[in-house]
Amino acid sequence: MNSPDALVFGGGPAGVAAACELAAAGCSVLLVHQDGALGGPVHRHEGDGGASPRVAPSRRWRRLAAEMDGLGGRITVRLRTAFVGLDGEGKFLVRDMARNAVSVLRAPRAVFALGAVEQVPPVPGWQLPGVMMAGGLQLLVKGGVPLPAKRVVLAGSGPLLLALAAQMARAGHSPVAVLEAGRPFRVHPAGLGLLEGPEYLWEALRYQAILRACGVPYRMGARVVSVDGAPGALDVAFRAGADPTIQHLDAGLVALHDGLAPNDHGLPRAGLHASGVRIQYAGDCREVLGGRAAIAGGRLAALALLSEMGRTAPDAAGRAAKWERILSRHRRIQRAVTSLFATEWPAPATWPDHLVLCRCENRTVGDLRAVLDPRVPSPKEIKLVGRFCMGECQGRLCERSVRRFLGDREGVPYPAKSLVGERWPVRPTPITAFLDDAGAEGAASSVPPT
Amino acid sequence: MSATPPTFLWNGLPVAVVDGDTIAMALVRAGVIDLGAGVGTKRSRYFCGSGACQNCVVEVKGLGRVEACLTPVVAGMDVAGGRENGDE
Repeated sequence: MNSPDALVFGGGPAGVAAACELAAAGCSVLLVHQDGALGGPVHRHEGDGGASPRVAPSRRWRRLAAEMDGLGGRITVRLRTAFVGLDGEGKFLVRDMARNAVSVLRAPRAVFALGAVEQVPPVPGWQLPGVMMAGGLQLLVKGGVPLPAKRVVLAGSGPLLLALAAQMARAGHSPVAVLEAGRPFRVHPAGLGLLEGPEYLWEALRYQAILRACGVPYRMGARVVSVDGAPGALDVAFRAGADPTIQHLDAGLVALHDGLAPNDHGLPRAGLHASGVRIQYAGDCREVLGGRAAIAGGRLAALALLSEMGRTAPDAAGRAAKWERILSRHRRIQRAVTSLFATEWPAPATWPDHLVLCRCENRTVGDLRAVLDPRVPSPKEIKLVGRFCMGECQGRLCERSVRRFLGDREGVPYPAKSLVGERWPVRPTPITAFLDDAGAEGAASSVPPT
Repeated sequence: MSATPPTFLWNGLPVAVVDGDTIAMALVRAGVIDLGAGVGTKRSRYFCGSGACQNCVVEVKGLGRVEACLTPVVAGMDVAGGRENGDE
């Protein structure tokens, strides 16, 4: 099915809910998912065929999966396929991950539900092998991969560190310590916001109980300063609270985390695309509100597309209002969570010259300072002279830090999207992948500018 | 039925294939954290696990350069780490 009524990119809760809603209204839907099984990182499906223990699906997810099965043949799922770009003629380019080949899909409308992308505090040494994102480590743990190091340190800030530590403890591989820079469990007025989301509170307390039972230190106010050493023998330096003394932990693996942001890097904007394609965002890809809100968000995105098609069901307004209420509630909860985990990372002026900002090309704070001398140059100069946001990750990993540094230096925020914009391919894609004859419509006729 | 477990090649050496694993998962299972030479003094390595950082790109014979964290591992695959060609 290469020209369905709608394309949905991302097979997590938001994408599946959007696909169900569209299909229930009679649309043919092609659901495109990067991974080998539906479900985002939270709702990762069982049954990849592996012998390893994979995580059992939640009740919420099972209900959604059953709803999808009930919609018969209207939803076609294409796994191990990732969005690459949308050209000016409305051709969606997707990459078949197993074959590393690009093919073309067409649809008059699409939902992007690509979830969230993890943020990481850039600390000296974060580029070393053995240092990874907490989400990266979580994928290994959930995949049943035995970790190649006994001593694992989780550092940074955010609820994911707590959840991951508890998951690891349950799996029999407790981390040595969690260095949480914020102070989420102190008494704080923001905590009252959590009363609206008792399920989150219970989850947090349950994780804490697991950590206590397994003897995992959860050190609040402990800020990671740097990681040093060689793979398997890393040294994590950190400060506890206001104490200026640097403390050390030995670690074989280190996982870093600093919250989540929408995974919308380089995607075509929501609304009417130049090609005439209608685009909606859903779930964390639109606004990070978590998996519970993602289902409501996915349905709302579908309703928006359906109303543009003139297919508004009689009860649509009432249902939309219900889902909007769910989103509002989760928005308030997320605000509370964000203020509870609020963390003061060091000001850019204090960042050491040797701190790597661009992990792709090893460009450091010192390199950025050299480009800046004596004035703050244009975004183009930052990129072409400084070579920031120019590597294979296309600025995903350094853009935030570079902008933060420049904004701090200028005294005004450096404009968002000035260093990275909307362009495709959204991932480095080998030219050969475009040359291979893949989908029914065949390969893209030309190689896009990068 | 062969008693030998399926393997793929990592820099010429056999590594066990586990169904459902990506190349990165299979390598971590085998204790491989360092994926070879990167740009300058940097090393290639597993980092984000989701295709965002591009730090774990490896060369698979027949497929080209792919993210180890996104590419399902298949028995018989010939995978090389690092940037041996030095062309980037």
